Amino acid sequence: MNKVGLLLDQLHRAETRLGAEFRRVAGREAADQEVYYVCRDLARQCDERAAAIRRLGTRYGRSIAAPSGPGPLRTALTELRRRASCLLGRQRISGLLLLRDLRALFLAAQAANVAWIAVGQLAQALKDGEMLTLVNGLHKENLTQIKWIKSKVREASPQALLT
Amino acid sequence: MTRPRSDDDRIADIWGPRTPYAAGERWPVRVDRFVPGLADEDVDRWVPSACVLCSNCCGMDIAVKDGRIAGVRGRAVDRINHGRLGPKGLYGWQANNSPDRLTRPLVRRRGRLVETDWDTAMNLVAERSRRALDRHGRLGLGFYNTGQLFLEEYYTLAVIARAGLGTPHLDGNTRLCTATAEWALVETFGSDGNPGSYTDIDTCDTLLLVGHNVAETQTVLWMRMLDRLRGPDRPRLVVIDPRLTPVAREADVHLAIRPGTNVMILNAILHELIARDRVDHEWVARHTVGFDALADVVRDHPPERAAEVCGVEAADIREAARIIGAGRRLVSTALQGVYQSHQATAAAVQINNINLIRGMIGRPGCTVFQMNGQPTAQNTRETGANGSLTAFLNFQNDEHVESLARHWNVRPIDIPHWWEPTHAMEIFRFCEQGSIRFLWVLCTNPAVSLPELHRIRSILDQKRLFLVVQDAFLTETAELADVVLPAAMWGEKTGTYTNADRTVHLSDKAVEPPGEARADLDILLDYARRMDLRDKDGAPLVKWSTPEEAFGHFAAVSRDRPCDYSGLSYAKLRDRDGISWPCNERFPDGRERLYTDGVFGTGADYCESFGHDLETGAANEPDEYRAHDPAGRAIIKAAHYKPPHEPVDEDYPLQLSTGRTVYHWHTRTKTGRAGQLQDAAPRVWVELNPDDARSLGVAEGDLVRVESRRGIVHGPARLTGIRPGAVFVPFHYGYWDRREAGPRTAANEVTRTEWDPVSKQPIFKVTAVRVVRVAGRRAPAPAPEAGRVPAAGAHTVEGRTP
Repeated sequence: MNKVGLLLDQLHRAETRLGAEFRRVAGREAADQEVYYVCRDLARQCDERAAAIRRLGTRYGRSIAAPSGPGPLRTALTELRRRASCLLGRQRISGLLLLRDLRALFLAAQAANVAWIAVGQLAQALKDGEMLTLVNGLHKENLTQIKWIKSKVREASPQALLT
Repeated sequence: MTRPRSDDDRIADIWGPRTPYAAGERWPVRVDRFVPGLADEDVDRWVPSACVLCSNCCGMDIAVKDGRIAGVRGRAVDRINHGRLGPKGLYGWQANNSPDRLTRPLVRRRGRLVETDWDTAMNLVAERSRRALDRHGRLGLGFYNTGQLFLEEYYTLAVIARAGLGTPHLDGNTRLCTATAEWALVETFGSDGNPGSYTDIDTCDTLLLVGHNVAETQTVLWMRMLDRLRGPDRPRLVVIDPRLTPVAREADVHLAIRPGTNVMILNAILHELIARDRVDHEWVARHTVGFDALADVVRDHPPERAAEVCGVEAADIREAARIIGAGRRLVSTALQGVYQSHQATAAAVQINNINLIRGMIGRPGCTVFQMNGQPTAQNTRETGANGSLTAFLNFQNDEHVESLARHWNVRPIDIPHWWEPTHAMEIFRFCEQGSIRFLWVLCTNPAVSLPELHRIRSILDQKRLFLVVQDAFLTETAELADVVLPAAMWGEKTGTYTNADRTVHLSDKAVEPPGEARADLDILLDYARRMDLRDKDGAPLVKWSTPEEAFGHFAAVSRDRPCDYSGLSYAKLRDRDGISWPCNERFPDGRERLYTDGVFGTGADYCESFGHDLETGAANEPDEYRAHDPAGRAIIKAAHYKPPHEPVDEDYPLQLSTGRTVYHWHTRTKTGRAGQLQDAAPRVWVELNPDDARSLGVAEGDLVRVESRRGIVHGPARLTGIRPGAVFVPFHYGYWDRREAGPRTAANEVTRTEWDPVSKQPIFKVTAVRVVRVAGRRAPAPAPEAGRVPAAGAHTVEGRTP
């Protein structure tokens, strides 16, 4: 059984979920322009990482399917969510909702983090230098995303909870 | 030495007569003067001061006649201007004498602002502050200040807000103009503060100006550059700017890039410098970290790729890099074209990188200027009245916070330092969501100067928000206020301020403020008393009552920090014209140039910040920084180019940038009240490239509408040398002086709400718009004639009835 492929599959799933989570939060936090734009950028980073994982999968004989794009219903929902969040963004509750979203993002990002750690170890054990360089670079990007989420949590918590 | 004196008209002849000089020579003196109707001997008193209408802070004397300001003249001995003044400096003082100055406090009664006395107004301010504190806590209050107060006022405000009320919500409109300068310096050098001196212009052999229309934004600095450019050993000049500015017309190479492509063009130049090995490897190895990562990133940015993205010729990029690589004394500068674009900090840092890999910092003629916009922007950064901690202290460094707490005699936990202080755009966001209920705006006009004005007006106009505005005039923002506090202006109060090359000036009170208007410092001290702000031992928190005492307190806090004022005093500043910080025992006369030993402010125990990821703004963790302590080496940070978040498309095919004209300052609160300046540029205009105009059917002077997804602005078209696809609208034109209702003219009606993730500076230079012709030409476009750059191949549309 191709355990390398299984692990890559798992990592791919984690990155795909994280990307979807960034998109979802961007939509829900459209009134907070920084969260909105950064989350959209970070979602794209996740897409690119997922694509890199698929290419790695091919090398190890595992064909990983690319996630399907959003259907028309999902696209309409996303737009609806964006508009709703712009209205909700004028309510004080929006601070708490942001914290909840950041928590969900953090968990999704950590799931990817753990998977990257495992894949990095694997690359070393396999003595696959090319894979190791690739994994190190992409894992670092994932860690920077986590750093960003932590920055936002630190910044947003007092305002959301005390006012 | 001859001293040419110039009483010339600084409207028609903006930069005045040339006084060319060669590298290493002293810039000749030329004294500019405007004291209408009075000879020098008719003046009662001359009071030494410095101009407050750009970040140059030219030394000037205020002429006083019969208790009023009667004019100004440049100070020949001043190191900044050697006697010169620009149009705003020469004429702008007349605003002080304007008949519509605010002279009494105003409060809102039944929807209208009515006059009242100070006691009533200040009691109301204090009462509503306490109510916000009781109901919403200390995070329910916010302060939004300016780049035009004095150091003493900023410092007092920082102590009141941070230690007294304990709110992190204190920032300035400097967020709109110099936040990126600050953060670009911090990210690379570990601490704020421009490394160089204006005398570096006197000795350089190469100039690189990026998004810096110095001819209009800092006219006197441009006079200095122009005198070198007309001198016997002309420096080479490379200009990066989408517009054919007066600066670009002097350039050896002008790269008229698409707006929003700064990182791409700078990476391509770095690519060329590295590919052609114009790198000082030994210096880089000894004094920097991060070169290899930079080389990796710029490898993907060859001139051909940049040419395509930026819309310029690859050969021109190569030629620009060749000039920069051949220079032996390189001065690079940046301003709003960089700071107000997306990827602002990432781009500004690449300019630092150019000088770093050339090993050209800390020597005469070799430096980077991350320019400031406003005259006292440097002081709001030093004192912590913007989004940083006082005296460039690091909020993530416990020892720093403890030292600040000792100075203020409060507990460290009383100073909010759980995260970076709140930036202006976030303060307005908190007002929007209703978590800030009390907002005090000091000497700035967000109702015209912030992006996406319909949103800003809707925030300021909320009933649940108590709005205090402190200003000299009834601005568009003041009209929305619940309380308006009449403030004294420059010349009517005493204090110090520091320019873009760290030169500190003292400006003494020359005349009394009109009516009951009060110095900003006195208003703040009054507030601290009414709020009964105390230190941890129960003594008054604010322990000073005069500007000089406030200065002394700040000087003590700043000791041993990069912005060390401990060797400065009012007496010393009165004795000598303009002294640079740091000024202390080691540098009693001030230090003209930082980093002369190649040691930067990046040490983990010393630095102002542990830095950020340039792409997301994620803050570095203290442990992470300490583990790789650069320990005095400059940090080279690389960045990949990213396209703007709102690209042009079929609906909105043009890119709008907003900016200044030479005759005006911000929302014209002052310059609009100086006749010469207002007449020189009375109304808004829309700059278009002639080819774009032709395809839109627009001729010079036609009324057009600029539309974005957020709003509409109207103005007559002016055809200029701006690059195709780009549109420019000056942002000065709000509504305070409009006699009748009409279409919107403030450029920020159409701009959008987005900011750089590191510096948090809003993006004014990249907005997708379309331009629609509304009506034929009524009159020539009211744009300044003197500053006009005629378009190459300008044309008019034939067959149109005027």
